Amino acid sequence: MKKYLLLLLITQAFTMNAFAEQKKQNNAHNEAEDLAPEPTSNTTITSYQWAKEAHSSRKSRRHNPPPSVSSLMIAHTSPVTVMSTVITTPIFWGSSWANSTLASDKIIGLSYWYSNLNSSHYKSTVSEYTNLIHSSIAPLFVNSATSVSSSNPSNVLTQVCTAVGSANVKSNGYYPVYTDLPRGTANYCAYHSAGTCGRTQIQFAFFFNLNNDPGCDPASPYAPVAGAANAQNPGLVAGGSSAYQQSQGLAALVNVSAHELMETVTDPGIGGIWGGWYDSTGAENGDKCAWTFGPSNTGLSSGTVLIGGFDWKLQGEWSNTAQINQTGYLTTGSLKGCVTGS
Amino acid sequence: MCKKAIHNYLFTMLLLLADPALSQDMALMPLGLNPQMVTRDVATYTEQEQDLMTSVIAKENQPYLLLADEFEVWSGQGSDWQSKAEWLQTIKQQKNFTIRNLSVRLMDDFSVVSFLLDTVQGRHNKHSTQFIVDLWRKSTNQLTARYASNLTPSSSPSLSRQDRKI
Repeated sequence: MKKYLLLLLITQAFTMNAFAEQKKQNNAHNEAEDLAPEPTSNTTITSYQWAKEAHSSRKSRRHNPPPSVSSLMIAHTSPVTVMSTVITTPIFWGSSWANSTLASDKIIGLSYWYSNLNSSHYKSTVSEYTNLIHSSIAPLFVNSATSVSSSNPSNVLTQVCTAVGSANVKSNGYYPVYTDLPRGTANYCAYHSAGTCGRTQIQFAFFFNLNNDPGCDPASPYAPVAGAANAQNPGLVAGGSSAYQQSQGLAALVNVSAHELMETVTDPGIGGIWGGWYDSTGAENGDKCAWTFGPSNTGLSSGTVLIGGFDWKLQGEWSNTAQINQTGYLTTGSLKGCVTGS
Repeated sequence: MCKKAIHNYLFTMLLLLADPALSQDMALMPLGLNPQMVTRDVATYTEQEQDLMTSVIAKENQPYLLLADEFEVWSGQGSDWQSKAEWLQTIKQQKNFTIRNLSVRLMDDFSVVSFLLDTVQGRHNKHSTQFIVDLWRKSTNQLTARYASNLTPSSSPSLSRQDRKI
């Protein structure tokens, strides 16, 4: 009996230790949750409708604003947590991906974009934060017979872990999940998040189906306009150095994909915290330049960026260096600092 | 038999506690501050609301262009309302502000924009938070009505709490 009592004591000690560890993690989580804006009262985690906070003071910021220290992003841990070697596995989730109308050129186009990013100038938008080496592997398809019911991060993480397999996920893996779910009235186009599959920490992102969605459309010169009758028929508008003609839905997804990937590598969720680069309002490098498009780095129309052999319309990313040196192009808040790589 | 059952139970407990991965196969990290890429509309109206407030506080002419002639403000307290002139007089007392949690619904010629507005005003730097619902007419790009409710301190994060974090 003494043997069992001893065993019981050991169990209790483990339990208390685990409880203390859990409490520590909860404290860290609570602190992180404290940082997060409160959701609107009748929404769940799936429908947070957040905008980056907009601060101002009496000082007008519209006329030749000087370098702004408060606008700079800050490293939130020491050493800062960023990703350097990233392997992307796109995941297409939803029954409609079997439909050629939705799939159109998106699967091949996104795969092409990810596989050519590493050799592009656009990658250098994050070079002051991390020496990024990016690669990608063939996309996966999950639940092809099941419609996507929710954009909830927990559901998305479950799909990633299931699709890839907990034994196969990579700690330097990034798993962008493209769904067939339309945005509806959500006030966001995509998000990135982090979690663990088994023992492995992973980064993932969620994307709505952006077909015919003007709210998430970069208005690429190489694609039909969102909402137009021909929005999903690629090839109606020619342009670019390689005359690549992309569907509106692909152009929209590539732009938001650039936003989420560059945020993930500069501010990944690691070890239970977001310890990378973001500013005093919580805005990451992609947020600070969202829906702004700089001069082309190929000499073509505004916002076009050469990746692989084709031009894409991509938002810029925030550069602390550019803000300090008063270079780059303007954010919506009229601060210099957005760059598209050179 | 009983001892064996206890033994098995304790062994299982030890195993689970020693290896959290066995008890929890997936875990989601808490979301960061602004994990989502907002839509163009949210970005546009965030900027527009910011411009309106900034120009009012700075006593510039721009707010008059952004405010419709029939603009008025309704508060959450009883049936109080303010005309455009009264509101402009009041709002000029503010020293600075923060707009957060902005969302947009597009409806024909109107956009319904809601957000939390943190303000600091007066000699004593009084902090307050309001939940605002603005009605913008798209065809004229003018604000036609504002509905405002004061939030109690316990129901919204204060400015000082935000400032402490970063």
